[in-house]
Amino acid sequence: MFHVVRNGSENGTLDLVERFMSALRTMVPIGTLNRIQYEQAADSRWDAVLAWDVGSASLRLGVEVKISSVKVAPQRPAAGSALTPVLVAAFLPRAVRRELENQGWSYWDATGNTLIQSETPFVAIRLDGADKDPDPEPRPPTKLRSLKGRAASEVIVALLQNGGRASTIRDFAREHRLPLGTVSRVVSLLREENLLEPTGGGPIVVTDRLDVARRWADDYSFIKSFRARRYYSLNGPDLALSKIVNSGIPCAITGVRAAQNWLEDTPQSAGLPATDSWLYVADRAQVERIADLAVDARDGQIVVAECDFLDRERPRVSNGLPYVTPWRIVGDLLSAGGRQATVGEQVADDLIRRWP
Amino acid sequence: MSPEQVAPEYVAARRALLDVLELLEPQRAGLILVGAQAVYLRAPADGAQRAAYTTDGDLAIDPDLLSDDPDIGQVLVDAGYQRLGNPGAFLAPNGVEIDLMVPEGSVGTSSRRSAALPGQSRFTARRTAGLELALLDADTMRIAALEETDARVIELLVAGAAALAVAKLVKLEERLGGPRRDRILSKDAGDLLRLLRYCDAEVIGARLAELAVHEGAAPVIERSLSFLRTELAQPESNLVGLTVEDRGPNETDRQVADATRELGRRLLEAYRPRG
Repeated sequence: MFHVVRNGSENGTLDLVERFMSALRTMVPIGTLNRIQYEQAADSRWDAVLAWDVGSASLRLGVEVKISSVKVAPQRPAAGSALTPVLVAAFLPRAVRRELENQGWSYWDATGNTLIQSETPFVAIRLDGADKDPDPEPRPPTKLRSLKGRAASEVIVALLQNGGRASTIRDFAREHRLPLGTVSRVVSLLREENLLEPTGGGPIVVTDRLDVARRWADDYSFIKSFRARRYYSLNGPDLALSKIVNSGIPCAITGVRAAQNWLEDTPQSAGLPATDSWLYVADRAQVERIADLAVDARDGQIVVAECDFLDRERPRVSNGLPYVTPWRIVGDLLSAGGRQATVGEQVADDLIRRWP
Repeated sequence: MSPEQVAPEYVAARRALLDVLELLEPQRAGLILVGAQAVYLRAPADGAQRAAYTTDGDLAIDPDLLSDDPDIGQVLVDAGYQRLGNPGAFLAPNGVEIDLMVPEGSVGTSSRRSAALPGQSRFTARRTAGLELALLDADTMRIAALEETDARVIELLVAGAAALAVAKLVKLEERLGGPRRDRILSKDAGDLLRLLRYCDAEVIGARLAELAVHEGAAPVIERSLSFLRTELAQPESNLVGLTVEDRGPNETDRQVADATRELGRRLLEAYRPRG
């Protein structure tokens, strides 16, 4: 019965041809002859050849089915005058439909866009369906080339904070309220760079958390990734910090000051005084007003980055002050280089020692 | 303020202040805490990296609330306090200087430095310019010891930020205009900046405008603000220079100078007396 069946699944060749035939059966008033059937004769140039008797006319439709999305109109095959060429697809964009028409194609898509044009016998049917693809094909994931982005930083912090483990990408993304695509791309990059243990499609397991943090810090930077700005305050650095923290605007301290706080209860202390205050805030403009901040790129003691992750990466409160999660402290310090990076490694060592 | 941030001199000064307040309990209603200890109560050093410190205890006397008896100067002497050269200046047994001062505008004019108070010795207190607003701008605070072994807490009137700012400005004006350079302390300028920062320069300016309607307040306010205005108008201001000299380790000279000028400007702009 079937001439060619390339694909039997939904929106496959057979399905689309059957749906096209059903659509043709509804296109003429009840009581008018409307018979459509497959032709038995094989013609390898077409996915199907249909004989359509409608009213007093009889057409032979050469059907070409496009399963994947159609971006440009295909060349019309040299079909011979006896066949009306029809392109059938799940969806045909407006520009493609126009091009098909110009080339002498008839067409039909599953949203109802229809053009049947034949000079002999004369048949002209035009119906409008959707202009937008109701079921677009998912784009192939873009490969991540670097870990410098804000979203990537959230994935890395969450993964490290999770002990460097996650059962599945999907569960991990859901649990940490992170975009699935970003998680997937970050994990792919880590896997390609051999920073994950080979688990054969099993859980995600970081080989060495410090190595991952170092790799992340190669691309990432607290200053650049979050476009942090350096300020001084008319109130002085300590009162300014106090005003920001008490303002009710979500914020969290990072950098050496946060490392000092983290290492406070450990035998080792951060071997660097905290001369600056590094802060993530949810609304930088408001913080500038509240704390009377003025940009001072050279001597400013308060470095403020605006972010939107503080509702997901909940700050840790210690002695009344909010601090970012410790693995972000590590990344921020490692990315700063020099002695600050050494302090970052101290925090990382402590985290790995305490949560092996 | 965490204990490790408090300088030992300040701990001793607070201990001496509490000792005096205990001794003078019957006259406490007429005493108001002024000076640096009042500044640090109004502009707390919580979270500050630089420990606040002061080495003395300053008390203003409200003549209207002071009783004739007991003679507070004599009470201190009887308790072992040593009279120093100036009236109202006493050295506590622990070596801390305690100063009892009467706002100049609250007693009749006199050529003497001592303040004539009914029932009180001549050496009990001295007249001091700039403290007038402390009689108008003060409220009760709990004053606690700064050492864990001392559980004392005493309630006392403490001068408000506006009164303290005016007192500091008048003191700085007098000393900058005086012959003795050694009496000019950058710490007074630092305390002024601290008040402008912690207590909001604009709030202080607006409060001064409210206080200006009280009898005798306007002249001292105008005097202090005139000094501030003149200083801020100068490119090489002594006042600004002193705040810079007193700056903490984490700020630059330029930042402290800018902060002094801007916050001073805000105070002046917020001062809009009625009429």
